Amino acid sequence: MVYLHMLSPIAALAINVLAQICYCRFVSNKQLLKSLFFGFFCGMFMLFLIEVFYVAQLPSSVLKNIPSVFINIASYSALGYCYFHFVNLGETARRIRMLRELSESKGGLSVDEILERYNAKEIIENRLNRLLKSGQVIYKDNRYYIGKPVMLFMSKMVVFAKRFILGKSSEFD
Amino acid sequence: MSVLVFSLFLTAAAFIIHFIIWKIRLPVHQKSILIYIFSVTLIAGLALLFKFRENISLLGINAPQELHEYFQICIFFISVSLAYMVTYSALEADSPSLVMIMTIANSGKEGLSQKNFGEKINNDTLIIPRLKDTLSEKLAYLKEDKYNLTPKGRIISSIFMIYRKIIKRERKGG
Repeated sequence: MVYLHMLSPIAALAINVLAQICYCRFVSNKQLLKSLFFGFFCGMFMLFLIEVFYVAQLPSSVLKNIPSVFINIASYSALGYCYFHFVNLGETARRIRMLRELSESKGGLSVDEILERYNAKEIIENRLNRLLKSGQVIYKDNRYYIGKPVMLFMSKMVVFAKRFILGKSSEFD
Repeated sequence: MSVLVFSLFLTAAAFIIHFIIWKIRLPVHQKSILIYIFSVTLIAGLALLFKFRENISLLGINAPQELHEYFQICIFFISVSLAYMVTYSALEADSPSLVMIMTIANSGKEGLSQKNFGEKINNDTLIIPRLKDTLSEKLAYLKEDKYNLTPKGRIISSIFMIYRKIIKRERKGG
């Protein structure tokens, strides 16, 4: 049982991935974010079950084992976050899209050929649609304005982290 | 309690070493150095902790005594390090959504026109730097002015294409 407790974050991640894939295949493949949340909570439920069984069969008090359970919850959350990023990379990363375009071509692609298939116009359109749909950006009188402040707040946090860690606010600084 | 305290201590130590090195000088190969710092901290930290486990204590808490506790520390450390590394990759390059939001925010109450968008965010800022990254990260190589995938690039693109097929998302991402 102690080894199951030790490996519970990895077991929970496996359930997370399986549940997310099943959601996409059998419920809806259009609600990616929902599928990720569903997978994450299925994994967390699995983790919870393992931890309850583990703590219940120990002779020591429940309180004494809480820190060890907390570590597993934190480990699983970090692994779930990594999986979220993996899915997100396939969905939005420019490099992955370029690799896909190159893998589908025979004999490689020149810069112009890549730009014909994937370019800034497409990137802006895709993201603007998402931002407009979620109300983060508003379109009024042929101009764009900030709508809900959530994305702006997150962007400012990212810029702050960039300044703190990298000492610059943009890759072009 | 010892697993929690020593897990946090080891993770904090890796982050402190990382921040100190970054403040002294930003490394050229940042991700490789980051992997190196976290790996060395984990291996050396666990080895020292295990060897001197009888004598080490932190905040009045003794070092873990059982082997499975060291595995638990290891899983926590690797999970948090991986989570930080994927976040770090996102910090290195400017995300298009972030650039768009900041560009609109900087235009203030006047807002931003479609034309201004094109002037400020274009292929030179969004596509060309990432294309260069594929060369520097050895995901692609140039042959007669054409980009071709390296075996590493082919493996990575296959992983994502297979995964997207499994979840039935045929639309190209990006």
